Amino acid sequence: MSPEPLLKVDGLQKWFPVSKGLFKRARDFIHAVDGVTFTIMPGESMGLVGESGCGKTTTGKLLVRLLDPTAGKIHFRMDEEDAREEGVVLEDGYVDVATLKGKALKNFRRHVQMIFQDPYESMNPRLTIYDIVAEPMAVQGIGTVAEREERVAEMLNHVGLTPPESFLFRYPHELSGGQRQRVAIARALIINPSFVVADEPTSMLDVSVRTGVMQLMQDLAEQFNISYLYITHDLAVARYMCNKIAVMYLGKIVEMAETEELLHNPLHPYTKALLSAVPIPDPTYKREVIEIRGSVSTPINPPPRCRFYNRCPIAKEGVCDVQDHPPLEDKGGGHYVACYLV
Amino acid sequence: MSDTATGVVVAHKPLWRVRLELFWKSFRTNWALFIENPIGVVGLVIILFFALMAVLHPILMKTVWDPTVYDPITGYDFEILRHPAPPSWRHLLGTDPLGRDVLSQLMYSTQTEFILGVVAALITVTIATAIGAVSAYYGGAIDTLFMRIADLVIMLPFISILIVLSALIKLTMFKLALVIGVLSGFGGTTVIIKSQALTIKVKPYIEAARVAGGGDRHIILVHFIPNLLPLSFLYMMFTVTGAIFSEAVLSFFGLINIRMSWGIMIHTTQTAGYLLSVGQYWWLVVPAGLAITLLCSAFYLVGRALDEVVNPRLRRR
Amino acid sequence: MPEPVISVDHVTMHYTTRKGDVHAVDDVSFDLYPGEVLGVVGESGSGKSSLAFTLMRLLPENAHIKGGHVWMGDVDLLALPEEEVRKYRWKRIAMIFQAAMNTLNPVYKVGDQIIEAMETHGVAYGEEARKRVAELFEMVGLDPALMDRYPHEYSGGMRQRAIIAMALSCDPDVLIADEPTTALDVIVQHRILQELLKVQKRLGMAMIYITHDIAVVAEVSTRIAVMYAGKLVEIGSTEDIFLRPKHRYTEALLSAFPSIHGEKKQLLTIPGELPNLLDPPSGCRFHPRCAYATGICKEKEPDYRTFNPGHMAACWHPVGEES
Repeated sequence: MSPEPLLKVDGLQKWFPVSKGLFKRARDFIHAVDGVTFTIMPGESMGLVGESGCGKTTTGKLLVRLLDPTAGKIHFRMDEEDAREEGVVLEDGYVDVATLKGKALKNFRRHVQMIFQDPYESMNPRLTIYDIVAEPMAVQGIGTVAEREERVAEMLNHVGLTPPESFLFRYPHELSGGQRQRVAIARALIINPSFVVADEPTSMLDVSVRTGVMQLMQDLAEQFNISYLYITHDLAVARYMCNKIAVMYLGKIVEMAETEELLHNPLHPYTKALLSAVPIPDPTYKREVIEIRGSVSTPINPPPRCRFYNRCPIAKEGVCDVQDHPPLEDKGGGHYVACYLV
Repeated sequence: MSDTATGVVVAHKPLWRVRLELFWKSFRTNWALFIENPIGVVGLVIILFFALMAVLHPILMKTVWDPTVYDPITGYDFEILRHPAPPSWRHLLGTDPLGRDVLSQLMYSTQTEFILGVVAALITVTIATAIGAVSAYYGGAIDTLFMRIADLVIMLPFISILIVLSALIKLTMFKLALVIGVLSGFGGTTVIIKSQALTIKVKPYIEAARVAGGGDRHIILVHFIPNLLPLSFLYMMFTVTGAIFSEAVLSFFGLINIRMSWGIMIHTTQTAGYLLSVGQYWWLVVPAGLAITLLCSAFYLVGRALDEVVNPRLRRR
Repeated sequence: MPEPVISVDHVTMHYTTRKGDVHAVDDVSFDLYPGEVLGVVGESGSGKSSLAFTLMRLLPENAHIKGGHVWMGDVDLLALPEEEVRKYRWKRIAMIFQAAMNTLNPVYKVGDQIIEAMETHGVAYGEEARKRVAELFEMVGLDPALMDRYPHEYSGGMRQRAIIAMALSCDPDVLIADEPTTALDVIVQHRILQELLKVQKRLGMAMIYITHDIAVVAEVSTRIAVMYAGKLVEIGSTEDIFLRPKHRYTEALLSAFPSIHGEKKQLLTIPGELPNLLDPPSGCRFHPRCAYATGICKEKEPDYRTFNPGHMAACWHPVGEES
């Protein structure tokens, strides 16, 4: 029997109003996330890649409910016992995260956590490492003070900050970037979430430190059976961290496939262009660059055509600009593409 | 999942003890930074000097000084013919038109000035920090409301309001402290603290707290307030200055219902008609005036020096 | 071998802080030849940016040059008094700063800012300056009409190009580019790099390209210098460095860098942390993190050894000599 998906995102949308005045109703919207659909299996790591403004960070924030979706469903698998305890109604074993409110939402946060990009700014400089890592427990009312101390020490051990006593009561500014990011991981995992959204967790770290943190995240994912949504602009890093990758462009997923399949056999013209622009650390390799014109714009009230139309090297008039953005379709073996010409 | 290796890790010290030690350590670091600035040291020395005066007065009254002569409010020196009498060994700063020892008055008033200043400052800072944090956090209508109130308070002339109020209610020292505290609390300081709170609001650690499940109360109390306190403390210093000075002005006009303060000393001089003869009767005006100036400046200087401790640290981190 | 355009000769620079001396650049020497692109690779604290600022003599007050020379022709740039240095800065040697997008003054038109640079250095004035700006804009792929717009009307990529145009405006012999494409998306980055290389070839400038990104440096530079903790640990042609690295840090760095090309290889993690420059490790600065370190690595700083012509590294146990 194949396992059930942990997370099913269906038609997720987030539109930001472009405000015109104090009392006027907004008529223009930025379609930051515009109908995103994907599933993540337990223990799977999915990469969400794209350039700035494509909506990947916004998607991540929607999944942890830092933002409320404008429309769409986020179905998260929960078992009966937890659901009863947290006062949540399950549909077929899934709770719609998008509709959670109040106490149920707060309880839900035990299952989904986030790791942030900036190891410097994602921690309150006045709190000790203990306070920072224990915060989820404190806020959720889990454990006594003594139990929290022990659990924090345990987590610090898991993330390689040993001996834990020497880190517990230090301040963030006393730690290096890599160490701080490990603290961030400890904080995210301390209440045993089953799903973690990682928003560019290594992009601000030095190379020699980066791989250590990446390795740690993978080890912990295996050890504690955690699924990741790994948001990054760096395709090379995504290759190492993710089982499958989804490429986003202007709020839509344009291609989604298993990692090696996507990298070696890209089908969407944007993916091809993106891959061809990534520099390769090998002086003997000459890459064939696919040039695309123009640059990424802000998707305000996008017209009903393929979002990539005005930059696409293979765009066909009469096909790509007369119907709405192509739907994401399986072209075989779980390789999804949103393109009329593939 | 838990392993014995971490079993007895933290049994050695209770958490509150650790926090105390950390607080002490950070206090010492800040102190070292503060001391480096001569401005702060000068201010602090002056404050300590006045504090000493305040403490010394009751001691002197009980030991060396005869209350009938030296009591700052009811004393009268019969042995001297004409009052106000110039400084002598008996009265180091002379006597006032009512025969009271000036030095005694000066020292006695120091107590009141300190209490007034500190109480007003505490009230201001509590209100300003609370409002600033809440305004920044919630934004929208609450923010607009408080900011408009602040605009109003900043706009209206402070002293004039106090003068009008003194006509409506009998102002004692305590009531004055309350009024000054509340008025300042809604004014300029709030705007400054709110703008600092806004920089905190957009920090990723606030998002992290929210993702952990933190509600409004948790975020404001655990994240906003501690990061705002250094700034609040700093502005407290400036509020003390304002409070002492306002009191002096009101007392000079005779609008406050207290028995003795530096302002009252000058007021007494004025009502007895000696104010314009400052050259001849300098001891009636200069000590009190100097005391007001020095203490106000001292708090201001300490505030400036604190600024350098507070701000670069916020920047560095 | 042609004469080098710049010869960096045992340059040492420290920052004085309240906690002590930060050994930012320590005994660094290399030559830069006309027309080439020398990539300087390193992580934070490696000293690569500090080195650039030293060459430009743009050091803050608490920085002290402890020794060495920077020869440009017969002149030692480090020994020149400030007024003399100004004649070199921007005219003979120019720099593009990291996160340069914020170095444009928001209240002036972009074209005017470049014209001001040229006029200050006596390169061109008035009408002629405007013509040059238009030419430069075309060279870097910007529409010359944008000259009269303000920085906020430019996108990130456009601002970066404007900064490059400004650096080139006085026709320098040497261009130092410090992480010019870090904050940009990969497609824009690729375009900017292409423009930069095109311009560099056309003007025959020598370029020092500073970055932490090994992939970029592989494509952009002809020679590479690897820095670690203020020291130059290895220098050689791009091929030598990538195909035949000698210093253990270089080797480790290459293995720690993921690539989307080719087989998915196992990534190596480098243990430990970047060293504290207030109190750098004794001997070879990489020894606490090196899998091949022995006693001598801890005691004595390694001397430079030449492996091929132009390929040098300072390591007691270089790659290929495992004993």
